[in-house]
Amino acid sequence: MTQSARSPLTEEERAIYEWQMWVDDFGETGQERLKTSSVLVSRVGGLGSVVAYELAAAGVGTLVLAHAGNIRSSDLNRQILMTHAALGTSRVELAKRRLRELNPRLDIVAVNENVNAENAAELIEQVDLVVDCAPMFDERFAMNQEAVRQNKPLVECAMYDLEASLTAVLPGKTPCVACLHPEVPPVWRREFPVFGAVSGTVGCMAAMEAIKLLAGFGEPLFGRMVMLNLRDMTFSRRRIRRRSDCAVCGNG
Amino acid sequence: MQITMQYEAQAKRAAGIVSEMIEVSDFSGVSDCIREVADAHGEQLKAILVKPNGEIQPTLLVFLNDAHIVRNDENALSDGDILTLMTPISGG
Repeated sequence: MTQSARSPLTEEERAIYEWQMWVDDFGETGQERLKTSSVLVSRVGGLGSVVAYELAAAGVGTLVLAHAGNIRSSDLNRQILMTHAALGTSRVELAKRRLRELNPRLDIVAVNENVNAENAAELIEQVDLVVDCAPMFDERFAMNQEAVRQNKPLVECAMYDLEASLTAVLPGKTPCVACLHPEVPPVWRREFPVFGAVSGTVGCMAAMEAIKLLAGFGEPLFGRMVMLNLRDMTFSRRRIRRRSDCAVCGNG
Repeated sequence: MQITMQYEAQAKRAAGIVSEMIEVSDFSGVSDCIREVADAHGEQLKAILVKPNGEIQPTLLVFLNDAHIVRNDENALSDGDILTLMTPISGG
């Protein structure tokens, strides 16, 4: 992918990001790229709240957060941007406020909608990269289709119970979400077993993938899927393949 | 020949086990192994692995050893292979 443009850091920014600029191959150049980067995080639930938090802390300049609805009690075991005091209020507005408390230098766009086939194009046009943390496959498919059409990279992460998966999609080069799942799976349900520590683990990993892609360092998970099983702490990294007949990125 | 079947995500929950060894004929393919375990483990796993018309569920993620299989009928198996079946997950 094309790395983001650069913007000089202020002295305040140098002080804040000093320790991460010590990372090999990242440095001040990488930080300047993050400053001009923009990311869509689809939903700020158990997974997306951690992704958004880590991207905000790292200094990604613009975050577009899409998540409909208000905070419920059952969100609070994992959605770390949500609070008990804010029960019943907008998830995405609280996420924006808390991220601005963490890093007031950022532009944060709060969209009180979930990603769907109607709004995906407009949302993805605003950003350099998408992190897909949606709990429903129709949202994942809408994001994937539009990210491929706009030739924008997508970090694809998901979890279930104590398991999680993560890959990075580079349109036209690597398998896309529809290569992996050519239709809506019959067994997936909206409500699923989850500890915040599991969604948080893969959320941190997804944020790191996004940071690597935006700053242009490290080895992204292109064409590879990492699978985590936190029940026995096994991690595997497997090669994944494109489908030549994929309806989204192939000849299908 | 002997094939190790591994189950991940909802497939593991439906099978009730993490992995098992199955004995199949020397000319069996990936689809044969999936149908074998679908028949052996009852309706919950069968519904996850196989469509009502007998077709392998296209949404199933299948790995032969560490390689992703996108055409279940194309791959010859060898004794000792590991076949991993993972149902798609979308928890966020």
